[in-house]
Amino acid sequence: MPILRDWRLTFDQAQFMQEYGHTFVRILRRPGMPEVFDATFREIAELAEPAVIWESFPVQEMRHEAVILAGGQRIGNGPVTTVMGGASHLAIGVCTVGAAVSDRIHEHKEAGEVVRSMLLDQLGTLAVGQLSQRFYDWLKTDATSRGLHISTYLSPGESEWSVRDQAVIFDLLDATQIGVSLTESLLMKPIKSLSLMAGIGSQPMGVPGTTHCDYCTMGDRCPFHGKHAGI
Amino acid sequence: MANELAMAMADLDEEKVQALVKAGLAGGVDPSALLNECREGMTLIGQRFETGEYYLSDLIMAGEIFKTAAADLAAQGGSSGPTKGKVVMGTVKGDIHDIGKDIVVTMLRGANYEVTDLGVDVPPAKFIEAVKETGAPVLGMSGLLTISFDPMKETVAALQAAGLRGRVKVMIGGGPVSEQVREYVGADALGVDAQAAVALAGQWLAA
Repeated sequence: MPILRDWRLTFDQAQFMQEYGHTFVRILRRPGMPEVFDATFREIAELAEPAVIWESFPVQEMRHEAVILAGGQRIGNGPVTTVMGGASHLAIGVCTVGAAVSDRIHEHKEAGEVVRSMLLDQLGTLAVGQLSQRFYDWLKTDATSRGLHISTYLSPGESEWSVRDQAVIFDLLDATQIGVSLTESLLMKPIKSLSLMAGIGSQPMGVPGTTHCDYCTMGDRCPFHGKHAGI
Repeated sequence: MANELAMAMADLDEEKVQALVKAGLAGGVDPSALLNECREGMTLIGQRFETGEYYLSDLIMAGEIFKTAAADLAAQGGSSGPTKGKVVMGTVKGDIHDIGKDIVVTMLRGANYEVTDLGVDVPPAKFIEAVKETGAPVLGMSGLLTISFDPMKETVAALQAAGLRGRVKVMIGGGPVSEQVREYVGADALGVDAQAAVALAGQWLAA
């Protein structure tokens, strides 16, 4: 089961401010806040330990309501078969930026550094989003080099694909090898982790031009809608 | 000066808020009156958030400025008198996201509600216990994940089983929560943001 750790995440403060700066205009006028922002950007770069565990699973049968893997596991509902219909394999991965980020968010909050805690939380979310996108891009490059196509990726719980399938993913992948576990309530710990799945096949799949954001139930209520690719 | 303080608070002008509080106290203004002005400023902040003028970071900053001013004024005997009522708040079992819930708590406290904040990953039994202990007529549940829906529903069912549902209004909120989810959960209302939560508490506790 491959584990990939050699990821170079970028934390470009100027780009972040271009995307989200308008939401911080007033808080940045507070004495000491620009320095807090600088320090938090350094902190995310130091603390993030990106890692991905993944595997490619052959598809036995694509049913209307779910995919049956060659090992007999049943996975996917909601938009999964629409997006990945025709796939011969499913690439399934769990991505994380590690526990140190989540721990530090909590420490800042406990110390009363609310702004720093909030900012690090936001940067942690963007970091795991960036990692997921990089992993997906890596899968796409690999598929393309073999003359194959890849669907867009989806994550359980983000769309109508039930979060209950997290249990299936964690049965298929031993994510504890990268320090990620699943709680009884199907929450990944550390919290800045994301699981995803994409179909790989000889023909194009899904609706061209769509991304996981197009299937997400939060839509434009999500502050990161369509913006995960980079900071 | 009173109106000026509320406006300075609403404009998130921290230096001006501190200066006006200091000047007010030095000039013999009742600390409680100053505290109420700060609360009026918090109401304006909530309204500006609702219209899209302010962002989450502004609410966090407002909470910080208010907390400092309120502590200074309380030290001088300032009080807003009886609170508008009690609210129990928490992020439901299985979910550990706290930023949204914390902002709602800050805005409710800023609006002079007495909030019991149970934190995150709160099981239904703990919500029920807090509602019984405090006698709060309003319960707010937060959740940022779809896995939050069932614990919300279980909590409402537990309220019913404890014979409390008739006297406790339930609001829910969080990113994926919608009107359909509210219906599924059996809550009374959906609070789309912190200001909506304050407005709901106001409606229910004024009734």
